Amino acid sequence: MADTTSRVGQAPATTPAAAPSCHEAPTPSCHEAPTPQAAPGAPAIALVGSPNSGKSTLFNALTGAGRAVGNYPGTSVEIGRGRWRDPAFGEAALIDLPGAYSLHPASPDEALTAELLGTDEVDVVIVACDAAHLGRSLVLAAHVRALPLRVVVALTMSDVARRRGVQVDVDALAARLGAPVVPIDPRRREVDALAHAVAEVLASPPAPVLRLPVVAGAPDADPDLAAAEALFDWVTATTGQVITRDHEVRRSWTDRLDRWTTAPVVGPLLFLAVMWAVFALTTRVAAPLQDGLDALFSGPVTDATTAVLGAVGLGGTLVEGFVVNGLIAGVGMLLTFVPLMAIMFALLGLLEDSGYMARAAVVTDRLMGRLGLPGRAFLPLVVGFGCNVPAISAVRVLPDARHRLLTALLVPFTSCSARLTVYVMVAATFFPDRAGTVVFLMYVTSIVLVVLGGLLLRATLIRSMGDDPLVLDLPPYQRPALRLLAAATWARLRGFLQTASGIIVVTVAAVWALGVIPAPGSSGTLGTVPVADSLYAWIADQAAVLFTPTGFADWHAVGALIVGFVAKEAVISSWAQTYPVGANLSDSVYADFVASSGGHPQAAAAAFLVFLLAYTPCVATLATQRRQIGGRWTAAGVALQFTMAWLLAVAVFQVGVRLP
Amino acid sequence: MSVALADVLAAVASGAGSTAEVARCTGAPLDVADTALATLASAGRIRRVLVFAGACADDGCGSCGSSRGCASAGAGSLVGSGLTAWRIVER
Repeated sequence: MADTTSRVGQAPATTPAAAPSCHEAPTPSCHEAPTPQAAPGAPAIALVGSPNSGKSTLFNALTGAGRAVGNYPGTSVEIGRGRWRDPAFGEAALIDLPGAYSLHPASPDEALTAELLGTDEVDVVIVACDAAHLGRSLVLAAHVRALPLRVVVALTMSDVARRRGVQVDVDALAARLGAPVVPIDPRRREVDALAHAVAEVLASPPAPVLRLPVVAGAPDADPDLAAAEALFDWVTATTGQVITRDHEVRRSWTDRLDRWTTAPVVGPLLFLAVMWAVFALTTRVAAPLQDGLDALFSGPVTDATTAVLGAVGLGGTLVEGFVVNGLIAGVGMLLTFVPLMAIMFALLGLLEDSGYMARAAVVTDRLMGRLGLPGRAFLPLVVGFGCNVPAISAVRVLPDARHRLLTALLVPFTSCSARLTVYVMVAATFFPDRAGTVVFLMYVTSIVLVVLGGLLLRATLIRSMGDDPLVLDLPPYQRPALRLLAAATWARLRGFLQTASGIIVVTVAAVWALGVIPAPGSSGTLGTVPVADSLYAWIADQAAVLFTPTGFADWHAVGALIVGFVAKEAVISSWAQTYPVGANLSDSVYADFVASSGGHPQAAAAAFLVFLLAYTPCVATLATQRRQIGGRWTAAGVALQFTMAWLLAVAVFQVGVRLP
Repeated sequence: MSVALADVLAAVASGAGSTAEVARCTGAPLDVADTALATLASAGRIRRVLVFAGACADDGCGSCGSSRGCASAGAGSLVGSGLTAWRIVER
């Protein structure tokens, strides 16, 4: 050790004049009720902590769960504010700063936290330290203690630490930090001791800052690394002093399982097997429920609606046509997928909550790295398997503009959940004995398309792109909580239905309107013309010419794909609208594919599925892409998607018809 | 048992893909490897790339135009799983 000292972590200098104020009112949000704020002049207490340290739970416990959220003035970083009242000090403004691992400004979140703590706007800082990950938390705590601030350390997650056999000597920790340490359980709202500690430090001047000895290294040693070594030594020495373990740390189940789930060869195979099981189970269990709902909507619901409309004198009118042929055929068809989506959301939620999906991310990252693609891009890509829109929004967290561009162009090839409904319908129609496997293969194809698209872009448009390896901080495996799983499944199902219903009602109305307008040259009249002679069929038929080599150049199917450009949730409903009410959709589609493919319906169906997977997901995706990467790249992406979709569909059909 | 931060950096650079793998490569206990990564991040030598929950929370669901659609982001969505990724900072 050298005899010099330095402020811990070299927290960045700040510019008070440019720093935002802690006392400014939160940005109003239309999503939340107004939250009581502290009176002007009340002390400002900042709450900092690393992500998942229990910081937000503590904030909610202190403010009574009232949290006003808004972007900090001049930044896009979101913080929470609330009023904390306690007899110990009266009233204070509590500011929930973004989660940070340190005060090194590696992200806008951490920059804001560092900037605010460097001003005199904050009267007290509460550092949430996770007792179960004390070493990690102490890095941030040491950074904060290097600033001339009043500091109180809130020790969270003590129950988790105890379960792991870890005991923390609170007094020893306080002595090492030079700040009061208060064990709390915010979930039980046991925060009185914290309030008293805050009141005490408020009444005192800030304690002397923490200074650490700097490790002396070789003359050519990296000074940053030397300072980090000093901090690391201090943290490990501190944890060594304050932590006692009830038993030796044994290899946990998590460690043992991870040796298999993240293994280079077994890991990917296991991931594929798990995903196959998810889709096989989903389609198998949901099939009878789906058939039952289908029979309900096309039978009793349609009959009852027709009878009611007839009784009120609307039988045979445009109103009956819209309600029966439009709403019931379209929306009813979507509702038949509710059991399927619920089962899939529950199974995937199970994988997420158990911690397995995080391991799948390790496997995917490694695969992409080996192919020369940026490993970090897999993060938004994985989100894309749920919905492409938030996945493209998420690319903004990637630090490199070329990574953002590449990822935003690849996300549309990830198979979002909206496409699943079409996969299931087509797979059940054309491959009834292997529907689950076909759906699984669509997801595998999606991954292949992402890889091929990435390699294509790297070989052509985005050649120069560096990459760094990633280290994933995996959560331990855990038993999923049934209540949380049910709540998450319901939230996702409700979100799917809300999004789908809004889009579908609009597209159903549009398709129905186009379906009652006679096509050019048709002898029919408005409202009485058969849908096959309508403007809708005419438009779809013009476009169908392009699809002759794909085997599905049928106006019903092509019309559904055109509607699917708006949103994939609307493909099934618009498809159903083009057939008479009461007709079995699967039988009708099968018959049309037999005709359009020259007797090779399975090959045409496979081509249709591939096209559906690869072409533009929805207009919302395009809008998000335009915001992230601009109009020109978005247009280039659309061209890439359609080109790949068409070429793949042609290839699949042409190969398919030649198979024995 | 402690470990040199340079060894941890080397393990990351050689492709150790998780905190557990860093621990295995360096021979350090898991909590020490975890602390080492956090310390290297505090020195700006590695950085946290993305936490899935944070991927959305930067702007917050309330301010996101696709928040309703996001609620249906079941397949593959890791939101809430607490996954953290680190990467080496280019110097």
